[in-house]
Parts: sequence; C-alpha cells; structure tokens
Amino acid sequence: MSFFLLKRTVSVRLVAVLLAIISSGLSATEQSFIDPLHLPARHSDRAASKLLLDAAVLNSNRLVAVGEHGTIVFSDDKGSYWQQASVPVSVNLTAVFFVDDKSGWAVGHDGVILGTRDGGQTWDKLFDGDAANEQIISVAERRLGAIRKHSEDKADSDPTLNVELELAEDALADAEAGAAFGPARPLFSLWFENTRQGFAAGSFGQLFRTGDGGVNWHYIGDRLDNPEGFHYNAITHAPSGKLLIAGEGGVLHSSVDSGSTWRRHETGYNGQLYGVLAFNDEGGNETLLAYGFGGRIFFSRNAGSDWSELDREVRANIVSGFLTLNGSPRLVNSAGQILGLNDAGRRFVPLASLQRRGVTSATRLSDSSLVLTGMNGVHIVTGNEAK
Amino acid sequence: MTDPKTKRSAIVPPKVTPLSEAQEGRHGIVGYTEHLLFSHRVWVLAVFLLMSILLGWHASKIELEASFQKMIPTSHPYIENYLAYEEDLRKTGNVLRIIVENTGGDIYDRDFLLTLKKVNDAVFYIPGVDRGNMKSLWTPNVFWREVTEDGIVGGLVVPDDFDGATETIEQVRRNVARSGTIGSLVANDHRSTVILAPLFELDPQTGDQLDYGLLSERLEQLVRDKYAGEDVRIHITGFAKIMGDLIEGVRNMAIFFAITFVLTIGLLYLYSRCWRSTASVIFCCSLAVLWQLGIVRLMGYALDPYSTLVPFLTFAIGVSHAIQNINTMVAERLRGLSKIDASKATFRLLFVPGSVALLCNVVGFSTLLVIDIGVIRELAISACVGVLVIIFTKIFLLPVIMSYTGISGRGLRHRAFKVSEKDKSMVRRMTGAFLSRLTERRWALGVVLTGLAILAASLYMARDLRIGDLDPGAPELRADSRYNRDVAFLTENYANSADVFVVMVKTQPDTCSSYPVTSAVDRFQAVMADVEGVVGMQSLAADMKALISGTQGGSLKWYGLSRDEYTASGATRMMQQDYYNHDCSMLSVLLFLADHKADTLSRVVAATEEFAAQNNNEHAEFLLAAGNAGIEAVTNIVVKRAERLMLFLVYGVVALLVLWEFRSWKVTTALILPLIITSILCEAIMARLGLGVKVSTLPVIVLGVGIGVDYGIYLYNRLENYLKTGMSLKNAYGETLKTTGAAIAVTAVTLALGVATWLFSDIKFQADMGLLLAIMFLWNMVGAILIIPAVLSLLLPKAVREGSPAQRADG
Repeated sequence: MSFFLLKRTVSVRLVAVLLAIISSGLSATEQSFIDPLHLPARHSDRAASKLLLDAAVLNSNRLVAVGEHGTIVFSDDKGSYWQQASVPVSVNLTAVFFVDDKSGWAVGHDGVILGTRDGGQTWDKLFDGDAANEQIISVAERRLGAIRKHSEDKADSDPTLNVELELAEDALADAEAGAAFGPARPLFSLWFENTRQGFAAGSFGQLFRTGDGGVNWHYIGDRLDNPEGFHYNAITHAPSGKLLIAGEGGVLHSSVDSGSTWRRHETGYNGQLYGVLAFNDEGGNETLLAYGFGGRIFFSRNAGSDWSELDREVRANIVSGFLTLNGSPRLVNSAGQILGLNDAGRRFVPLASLQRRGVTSATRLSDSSLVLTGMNGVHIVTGNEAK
Repeated sequence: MTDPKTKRSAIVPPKVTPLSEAQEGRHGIVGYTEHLLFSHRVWVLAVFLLMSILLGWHASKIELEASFQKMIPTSHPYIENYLAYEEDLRKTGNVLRIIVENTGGDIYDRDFLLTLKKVNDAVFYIPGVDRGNMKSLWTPNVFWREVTEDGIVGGLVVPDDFDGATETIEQVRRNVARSGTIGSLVANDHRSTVILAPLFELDPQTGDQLDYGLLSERLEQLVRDKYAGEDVRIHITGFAKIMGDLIEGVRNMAIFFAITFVLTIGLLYLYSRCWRSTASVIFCCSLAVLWQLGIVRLMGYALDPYSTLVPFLTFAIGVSHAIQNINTMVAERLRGLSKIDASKATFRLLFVPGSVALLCNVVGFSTLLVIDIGVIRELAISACVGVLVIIFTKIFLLPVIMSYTGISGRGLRHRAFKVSEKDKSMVRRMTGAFLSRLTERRWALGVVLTGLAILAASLYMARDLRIGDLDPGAPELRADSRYNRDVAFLTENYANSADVFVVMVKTQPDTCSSYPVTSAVDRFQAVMADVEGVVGMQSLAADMKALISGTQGGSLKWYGLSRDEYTASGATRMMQQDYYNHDCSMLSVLLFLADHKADTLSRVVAATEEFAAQNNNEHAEFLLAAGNAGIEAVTNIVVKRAERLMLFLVYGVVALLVLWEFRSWKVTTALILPLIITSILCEAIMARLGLGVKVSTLPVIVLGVGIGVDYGIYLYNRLENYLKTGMSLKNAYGETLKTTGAAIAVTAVTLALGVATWLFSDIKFQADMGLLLAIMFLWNMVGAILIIPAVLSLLLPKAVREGSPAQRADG
C-alpha cells in the first residue's frame, strides 16, 4: 500500500532545466517581487518564539539563536530576555557558529552566509546562492574544459576518458539546472577553526571554504566523492583535528588535511545522518557516533572504516549531540528526549524528556544547562531537568 | 364635556371649534372618499374581502428563508472580492462538521467505529452534501503518511480490511497518530471525531438553491435523533446549521405572534371595555398583517429572521393608531350621533392626521435603505408596506366596519365615567396634578436639567459601546443554544477556532504555488502571527513548508519554501486542493482568531490592508475578506459607517417633518429632545448589556425614533388645540393628559408588548431587537409626557404660556 514517492533523479533534473528555460522567458514580470534574500529581517516581538534552528554560546556567555525569516536573537542573561539582531536577509537561517566573543557566522536557505563582528548584534551578508551557483558552474566548466583538453591531447579514444567526459558534462548540466531556479539551495552547517579558516556545507553536496574570515568563499564540493549529489547535514571536527561531514544516504566524509582531500565512509544505511559526534573513550580511542533519521545511531572505533548500528530505543529523529562535563556522549531527538548510554554501555536510552516537540538543536552551557531550539523558539533547560 | 379632536394640521388657526368642524363635513378629497366609502358600504366590504382572499392566499404561501447573502453588505468591495471567489471558497467555507463523540471512552472502539460508519453513510445520503469531498475516518481520502528512508509511504487511516478485530483497531490508532489529522479530524483527546461534509449551495443537477431548513431537519432526524444516545453524542456545526436553526427560529415566531395577539386583545379590552370595538380593531389589524405578508410575497420576498419583525410592528402600529378610532368613535357616540354618523365623523377627523402620521413612519423607515445590507433593506421595504397597508385597513376599512358594530353600551359608560369628574381615583388625580406642575418654569427647569443630566450620563456610558458581536460562538444564536454549545465543544477539543478570517491571494493562472506567490504568503503569515488575536493559520504555503520538510525526513532545517518549481509543484500535487482554486489562480489564507470582537477584527483588517498596500504586485494580490470573521469584519465597517449617516438622516427627516407640520423650531426642539435622550440612553443600555452595534440593532433606533415621534405629535397636536382656545399651558396640558395621555400610554404599552415577546426568541439578535425596541417605545412615551411640556414652558412666550385672561381666571 505504499505510494507517494518523491526522489530526485537525473531525469527530474532535465525536466527542471526545461521548466527553468520556460520560466526564464517569463521572468521579465518579476521586477516587483520582493525577494526574501534581499529583504532585511522584520522585527518581531515574539522573535524568540519563532521556529529557531540552531544556537551558539559565546565566551562572554552571550547566547545567539538563529531561525526562520532571518531571525537572529541574542541574550546576555541566560535566556531571560532576548533581543533581535539586525539581519540583512529574511530567509531561514539553519546554523550559527562563533569562534570568540565577537566573530561569528551563520548559514541558511538560498545559500546565504552571514557574518558578524560585534558578537551577533549586526550581521552582514557575505555570500549567497547566486554566488554559489556561479562558483559551482565555473568549477564544473573548468573540470569539463580540463577533461576535454585532456581527451583532445590524446589522439586515440580512451573509454575511461569518455566516461569521465560524460560525467563532467552531466555535472555541468546539473549545476546549470540547479542554478536555473536561482539561489535555491540551502546550506545547513558550518565550522570555523579560527577567525579566518572556515567551512560551510549544505544541500546537494555543497561545500565551501574560506581562508579570510568569510569574505571570499570557494566551492570545494568537487573534491568529495559524492556522485549522487547527497546533502551534507552537518560539518564538525574531531578532537584529533580531523574534519567530519555527515549527510544523506548514510554517508560520512572526513578530511585530515583541512579539507584539501576527503575520504568517503559508508555506514551501510541509506537514510539521513543529521550529525556526528567524535570523542575519546576511557581508553583514549577516538569513537565516532553518527546519528540521524528515525532514531538511528551508528558508531565506529576505527576512524570510520567500519560502522555498527546500535539498537533503536525510540524512533524520533536524532538532531543533536553533545558531551557532558565529564565527557559522556548525549544525543537529543526531535521529540525532546535526551539519550545517553545505558549501564551496560551498549545502548542509548532516554534519560530525560524535556516536554518539547520539534526540537532542532541542543547546545550545552558550562553549567550543564542546555539551550534548546525548535518549533516554538529557544528555551533554556537547567542541568537538573536535563539530568 | 367636549371631546377635542385629533387634528394634526393646525397651521391655520381654526375658525371654528373642533366640535363644529366635526359636525360640518368637508368637501374635497376627504368628503369624496367619505361619500364613496359610506354610500357603498357593502361594496367596500366586498372589495376588501376579495383583496383579503387574494393576498391571504399569497400570505399563506410565504416562504421562510435565511439567506446568507442578504445578511452581508454585498456591494462593499471586500465582499465583492469574496463573492467573486465564493464557489472556490466553498470547500473551506460552507462545510458541515458532524462531530461524533464516544461518551464512554476513546474512538478506538469497535462499536463506536461501526456507529461512526453508519453516521457517515447517513450523512453521505443527505441531499446537498458534496459526497466526493466528504472527509471522515471512513471516507477513502483520509490518509496517513510516514517518512521512511525510501521516501514517503502512506495508506488509508481505516484500512480496507478493517473488521473490528483488536489488531485492526490498533492499526487505526497507529494510523491516526501518523495521519496529522489530530486536532482537525480527530479530537485532541481522541474521544471524538469529525465527519466533514462540504455542501452544494446550488444543486449540481437541478440548480436549485439548497434548502437549509430541510437540510437541518434531515440532520436532526436522520443523524442526531437516530444515532445520538447513551454512548454516542453528536455535535453539528457549520454555516448551514446556523441557517437551519435561524429558519427554525423564524418558524417559532408564529407562537410569539399568537402570544402578542392575545396580550394585545386583553390590553385593548381593558382600555375600551368593549368587545365590539376590540374585535373590529383586531380584525382590521390582522387583515393588515395578512395584506402585508401577501404583498411582500408578491414582491418576491420571503420572511427572514429580520423581516419577521414587520408583521409584529404592523399589528402593533395598526392597533395603536386604531385606538384613536375607538377614542373618537366613543366621543361621537357620547355626543349622541348614530353609529353610522359617528363612523363618518371618525373617518373625517382621522383621515388627514392618521395618514400624515403613517406617512411620516414610512419616510422614517425608508432612511434604513441607506444601509447596504439586504435584510435591512427588505425590513425597511416590508415595514413601509406594512404601514401603507394600515392606511387602507385602519383608515378606510375600520370606520366602515365600526359603522356596523358600533360601541357597546358598557364601553360608552366606561368612557363617560373616565372623562367625567366622577373618577376620583387618587392615583389618577395625583398623577394629573403632578404632571401639570411640570409646566411651571421651576419644575420645568428641573425636568429639563434632569433630562440633560441623563443625556450626559448616557453619553458617558455609551462610550463603551462597541461595534459588532461580542459573545463567543455564532452571534446569531444565543450563547447557550444547542448550536453554540456544539461550537464550544469543537473549539475546546480541536485545534482551530470557529472564527475564521480568510484572506484571498489572487495570482496569475497556474502560479498559485510559485515562489513569488508562496513567499509573499509566508511573509504575510509571519506578519499576522504577531497580530494579537490571531491564534492559528492555514494555507498552501504553510502546508508546502511542512511537506517539503516531510519529504526530507522531517528535518526542520528544510522547513521552508522552495524556489525550485519542481519541488513546489511536486509538493502541491501531494496536497489536497483545500487552499487554492481549480486553475491555481487564487489561494486562500485562513487566519483563526481568538474571538470575533470588533477590536480583534479591525486589528486583523488593518494589518492585512497594510501588508497588501506594501506587497501587492502582479504576482500576488492580497484581497480581503472571506470566512465568517472576515465577513463580520466588513459588516462591522459598513455598520459603523452607516450608523452615523443613518442617525443623521432619521433625525433630520423627522425634525424636518415636525418643523413642516408645526412651523416652530421651539416645538420641534420639544418633540425631538426626548427622542434624542431615549436613543442615547438606549446606546448606554446596549453598552451596559454588552450589546454591540450590528445589523440587528441598527434598525432599532430608526424604528424607535420613527414611531416614537408619533407620541409627541399626538400630544402637541391636542395641546395646541387647547392653547388656541386661550387656555393656559398648565390647564391645556392637564386636559391633554386626560384624553390623549391615556391613549399614548396604551399605545406605548401596545407597541412594547408587540416586540417584547421577542425577548424569548431562540435567535439572539431578535431578542436583542425586542429588548431595545420595547425600551425605546416605553421611554419615548415617558420622555414625551415629561419633557415636552417642560421644554415648552421654558421656550414658549409668556403670552402663550399663561393663556387669555378669561381662561386664566378659569384656571
């Protein structure tokens, strides 16, 4: 009785190209359309209660949360009073990251990357989906050009080269099809090493890198093994300094050289992974804990080469993970449950229920309380409630 | 003792006393008509009989209706927007919600689910139900969906192989949980579930208008009576049910009419002590009602909850004017005239003043026509018809009938006793003495100042007067009515409120799901979410965000609209076509409100207008307004605007008529002041009782003022006659009270009784109208008796106040 199926395929992309060509012919009438990408976020008295998707805590103990309609709120009194920041876009913001008291970045829909230098009070747009499309297309063009040149140099036809040529052509067609809808592709996650070096990842295999604090961004998605164009849901780093990406199709990617080269890891699962938590166990061995759709949890003790799935206790999506003060892993699901290892250390079981629905992220503060974001805004849960 | 005559046109000082004028007979139209009537009495009766048979036949065929279109201001641009999309909005607008409740537990119960199926089938076969779009746990269009690694899977909530076994019931429980229908189709507490039945306003085969009365009756008989019981309760809400209940309410008005009828007979007999004249008057006034109904039907109108007032008014106005006939007839008989001569004299004396008074009413009522709401216009028209009909039955027919019946000896003796000095009843004497003192300047000043103080206090209290309806539930019906209890159950146990404000978004064809449109709608919803009183919203854009997030594993990071047209139209295809029309050129945004108080509605209207002004473009045009709350908001706007204009018009018209008749601004002031005090007092009472200014209360002031001015006219007319004989104001007023004063009191009580029975109507606004009209009729009388002499004594020159020396010596 299973019907309804919505999945992207290559043929779908072709339809999309046709649609885009038709609609671009009609785009002359679009002058009066107010684009959320260029519309400053509206002030709302209930900004802190809107759909908020991620939060960050600064060294100054300031809390910053981002969410729908370009909403960014900050609080200097542990969430009692929230102020709304000045933001130049009205698109949904999906993630926020700070490296110190002042410098922070946020990413969101339509390929938006914002930056702040005053601890989150005012934000500038550094990058958007139009720039992303340009970059993705030019990278694809460069690659196609190089392969063409390579095949022209070789007199006799090489079958592997022909396949590569075809793939490069497809990649360019895909990039152009995606661009036809304008800045349509969301970014989901970001991570900065310091005020200069940072990464932003998102849908359809988008990965960008900056070396100048976000002024210039470079598309490096072509360096990852992702022919399916899977989404990247989260980018983070391990204690060892290794970069980690968790994404669609149960796939993870890691890089030990600050993003220059990447290795693909298969968990064997075919659904969404929403994040990965890396920590050292009692023995000092690095453990990777990937979590995602339907309450799935996978772990690897050998740097991602082999993965095992843990038994599922609950089926709600796991959206966030953190380490307690003494270093034990905790996972948080969309139903507002906090999961931790049971006594045997073999399963994640619910430790506390926070009576919240539609949770999207949990950030631990130094006093063990949690900053939760979700459908009904941002809330602080004390350490006792969160156990 | 002479009997001064009712005479209104007193501009020319009478050369002869009223007595001799009455004996004389007149030429011209009055004399001619009198000759025509009384020389061919049998023919007159025959003509009236024929007319009565004809109009009576039509009256018996009159239909009861409750038309939604007639209750709204159809030519307001916002309503025109609504009417342009009426058919597209029907799916979300004209829908019946039949809530089936399991009193003994939750809905996951074999017997309950099987009963639900029977109810579902019963609703399915009720004519008027749009079967294809029905929705319930038992219809094959309610699905559950679940996101899996492979995409979205789904199926029917009640599986095809449901057999009532425990496993299948558990399956239903699981499916409901993942169907997303909790709060809409299944109650939050899982103890009841909704059968959603959209209706056809017009029968798709025959094109006939849906008969809401019949539909409501069928729902009661085939659904509620049949399946509700110990274990199952049934609640029914929806516009059609309100209409059905209104029609039922109009039907019940027959009982109220019967009560009014009996009460009026009693009152008339108490006044006249004569069965013959009582019977004649009641007969003529009943005929007036019959004619009025017949003519209204001939004009193509039906009886709606508003125009039902008119038969009551016609009857009451008829009786109150006919009291003058009895009055005059008795007086003439006491002077020794024969039945037929007394009747002729009555006709002659009352023809001009009676016609003028009634025509004044017509002019007053027609000011209601400025209000652009069908029911009010029909009320105005049929009230005018009613009053015009009275001219025929009361002015022409009644004297002819009374020329046969006459006045009984008992009635004559009673009157002779009353007007003689033999009536020594303490109350009567003291009231007379007290009221006469009002003409002394000292007392007069006190009365006028008190009147002005009441006016000031009322003005202060009336500041709290609100526009629109203030109680929860359907404002047409009482707060504790069956319907409103059902609505309360719905709002308590389901997610959405019953007050829905719909904003229509007009787009180019086939673009209603495109990004420029949906992103504008999304921004609109973000703005409206901040408006106090908006508690929930539904739209294509909102559903699309949820669906896009759903296709991405339910991740809220995807909870947004897509510029990608493929994603957008793919998402749209997966949704039911609830929020957009057939060619995707209009999508509706449903705003659920906390209540329908005027402040809430005007906040929503203002916020929407502001957004539309800033954002309307060729992609998307935000248009107000539909939904019950939207239409009420527009009605409030129209009512607020009409209120001022109408007050201005009705007072202007009435003041001009009085001025024209008496040629004196002083008299006009004296007559209008009590009316103004009464209408402001009425507003203060409304504010106190929490009644808003609305479609039903607007006509009250016009009717109150239009009819209320009659008292002043009767009173001053008589007073003027006495003053012209040289009496002092005090004596003249004392004499006036003896005759006209009593008649006015009876008139006021008759009119008040005519509408007071409405207090018990099941229809809330009828009860409100009844209450306010009764208050106005009575207070206008009190005001006329107390304030008119007081103002006159302050304004009239000394010579007039003190009368001629001879009379002063008398007094």
